[in-house]
Amino acid sequence: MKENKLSLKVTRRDFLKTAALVGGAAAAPAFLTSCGPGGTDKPIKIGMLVPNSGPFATNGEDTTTAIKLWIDGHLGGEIAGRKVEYVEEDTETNPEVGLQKARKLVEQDEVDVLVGVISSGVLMAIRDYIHEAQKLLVVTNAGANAISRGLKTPYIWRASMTNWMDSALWPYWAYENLGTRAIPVVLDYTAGYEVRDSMVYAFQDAGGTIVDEVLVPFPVMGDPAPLITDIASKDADFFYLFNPGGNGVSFFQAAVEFGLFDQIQMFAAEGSSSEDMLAAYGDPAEGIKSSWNWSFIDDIPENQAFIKEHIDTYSQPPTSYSVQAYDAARIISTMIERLEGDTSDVNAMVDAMAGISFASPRGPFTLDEKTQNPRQNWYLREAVRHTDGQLHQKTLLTLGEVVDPGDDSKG
Amino acid sequence: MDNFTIQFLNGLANGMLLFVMAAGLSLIFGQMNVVNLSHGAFYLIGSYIGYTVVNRFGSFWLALLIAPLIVGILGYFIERYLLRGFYGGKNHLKQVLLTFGIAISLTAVIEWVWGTLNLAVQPPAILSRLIPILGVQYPLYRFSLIIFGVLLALGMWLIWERTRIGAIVRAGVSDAKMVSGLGINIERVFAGVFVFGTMLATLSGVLGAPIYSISIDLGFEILILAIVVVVIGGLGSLTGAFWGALIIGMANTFGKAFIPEFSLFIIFAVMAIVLLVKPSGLFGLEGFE
Repeated sequence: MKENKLSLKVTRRDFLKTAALVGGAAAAPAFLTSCGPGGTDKPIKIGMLVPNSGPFATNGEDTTTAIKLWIDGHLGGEIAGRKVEYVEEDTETNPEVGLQKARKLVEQDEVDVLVGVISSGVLMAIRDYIHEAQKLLVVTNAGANAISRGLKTPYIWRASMTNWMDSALWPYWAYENLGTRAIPVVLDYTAGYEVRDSMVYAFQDAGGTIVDEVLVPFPVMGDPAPLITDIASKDADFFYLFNPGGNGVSFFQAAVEFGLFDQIQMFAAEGSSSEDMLAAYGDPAEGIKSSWNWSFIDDIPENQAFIKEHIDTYSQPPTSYSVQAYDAARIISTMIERLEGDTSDVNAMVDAMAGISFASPRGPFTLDEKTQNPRQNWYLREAVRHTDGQLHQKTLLTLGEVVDPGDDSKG
Repeated sequence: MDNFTIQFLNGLANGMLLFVMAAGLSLIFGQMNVVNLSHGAFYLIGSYIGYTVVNRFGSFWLALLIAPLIVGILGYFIERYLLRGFYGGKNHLKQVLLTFGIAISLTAVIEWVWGTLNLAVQPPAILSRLIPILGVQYPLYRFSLIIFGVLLALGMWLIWERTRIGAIVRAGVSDAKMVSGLGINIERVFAGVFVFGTMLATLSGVLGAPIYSISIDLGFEILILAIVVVVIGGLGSLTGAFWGALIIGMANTFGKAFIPEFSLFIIFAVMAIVLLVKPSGLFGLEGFE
C-alpha cells in the first residue's frame, strides 16, 4: 500500500533527485560524495544495536536480517529516495558494552536512527544516554516496563511490547480453562518479576488464587531438578513458566524426565515457548499452551506472506524477534517517509512516530502515543506439528487488544 | 517425606555429576600444579560433540566413547605444544592466562561450528523412565549417574593407590626431578595426566548434556562449579573432590528446593565456611593453600 502512496506523491523534487542520481552515476563518483552534510542526498544511516556473540547472538541475527528484509526486500534499500546504510554493533548482551556501542553509533558513526536492543538490561543501561543525546531509538524486543512508565523519554519507542503486556490477558482465560490455583515460576531477574506481577494482578482480578511462587536462579548453576520436585509438591492447578534460554531448556527437560506434566498443567510465557525453545525441547513440547503477540501458524495473510518471504530469502523460518524487528524497520521507514526523507530534526522525527499504523504480520498494529508502545492483539497459542515437520506455535484464539497502562496500577 | 527422598537423590545425582566434572580439574592441579581454566570449555565441547553424535548416529553410548577420544587427542596437542613451556609454581599467572585463552578460543570455535542456539540431548531411551526407589519414583538416568560417579571414584582410587602408574604419578607430585632421575619419563606422565583430565571433562560434558542442556555460555558456569568443588575438597585431592562434589551437590539441591533465591549464595557460603575452618580444603595437602 505504502509503495502506491509513494508513487502517487512523486513530486518535482523527487523527479529532480532521480535525474540528479542518473546524471551523477554517469559523471564521476566524486560528484556524489561532494554533497553537503545534513542534506537529504546523503544515505540514511541506521545503527543496529544487537548481540552478535554469546547466547543471544541468534536473536540478534534474526533482528538484523528481518530489518533488511523490510528495507532491502520491500523498499529496494531506499527510504524516501535516500539510500540506507547499516552500521551494526555487538552489545554482547552486556549493559556496559551496550552503552559504549550506543555512544559509538551516535558520536562516531553519526547514525540517523538507532534500532534493536534485545535485553532489558541493555535498554535500561542506555536509556539515560539516549535521552541526553536526543537520538531516536526503536526497540525491537527489550520489554522493561519502566521505559514506558517512569523512565519514559520521547526518544525511545518500542515495536515490541512491555513485559506487562505479556500476561495482561491470558490469566483470565486460564482461570476459566486451566483452574483457579496457580504458581508463577519465573526467572529471578527484572523481566521475570514484571511478567509475574502482571500475571498475578490479572489472575487475582479474575478470581484466582496464587498459591506460591518459585524464583528460578539465574544462572541456574547446576541441576534444575530440585525446582521441579518443589513445583510438583505444590497444590495448584497449573504453573506459569517464564524461564528463557539454556536455563529453560534444562528445566523443561528435567520436568519431562520427572513426569511433572502428569501432575500439574503448564502455561508458558513467550520466553519459554518461542520457536527456538520449541526446537530445543523436542517432541515433548507438543501441546504447550502459551500466549504472545505473534504465532507462526495463523490466518493473518500478512503473516503467512512474511513467513514465506523470510524462508525464501534466508532459507529459515522467522522467529518472534524477526517479526518485531520487521515491524520496527517498517516504523522507521514510515516515519522517514512522513518527513520526506528529512532526518535532520529529531523532534520532528519523534512527532512523526505518533499514530503510525499498519497491517503487521502480528495483525492490526498501531503505535500508542501515550506509552510509545504498540497497541496490538494478543493471542492464545498451542505448539503443534506443522506441515514442515517442525513444532510451531499456532493461534487458538485472539485474546484481545493490549496496550500498556502507562503506570504501575495493574502490576 | 517423599519430597525429601527425591531431593536427597537429586543431591546425590547432582554431586556425582559434579565429581566427574571436577575430578579432572583436581587431578591436573594435583599432579601438574596447573590451574586449568579451559576445563569448562572441554566440558562444553564434550556436550556439543555428544549432541552431534546422538543426532547423527542415534547412540548416546557411542557419544560417551567418541567425545573423550577426540578431545583427548586435542588435549594431547594442547599439553605438548602450549602448556609444556609453562610448568612450575612460578608460572601460575602465565598458566591462568594461557588456559583462559584456550577456553575463549575453544568457545569461539564451538560458536562457529554449532552456532549459539540452545540445544538439548535426550538421555538414552533405555534410561529415560522412572523407577521405584526408596519409595519414590525417580528418573533412571539420574540414578545411573549416581552409580557411575561412585564407580568412577572407586576405580580412580584403586588406580591411584594400588597400581604402578598410580605410584609413579604420586611420586611425580612429591618430587618430579627424583622420579625422572629414576629413569621415568616425567613429561610423558604429565602428558598422560593432562589428557586423562581433559577426557574426564569431556565425558562429564556428554553425561551432563541431558541434565544441564547445552548453551554456549555454560562452559564458564561449569568451570566455576568445578573450581568451588575442588577448593572445598582441597586442591589436588581426589578424595577431596569426591566429598566436595557431594557437599556442593547437596547444598545446591536443598538450596534450590527451599530458598531458590539464595541457592547461588549458599554454594559460596559453604565454600567460605570450609575455607575458614580448614584453609587448605577438607582433604587438601598442606602447602596447597
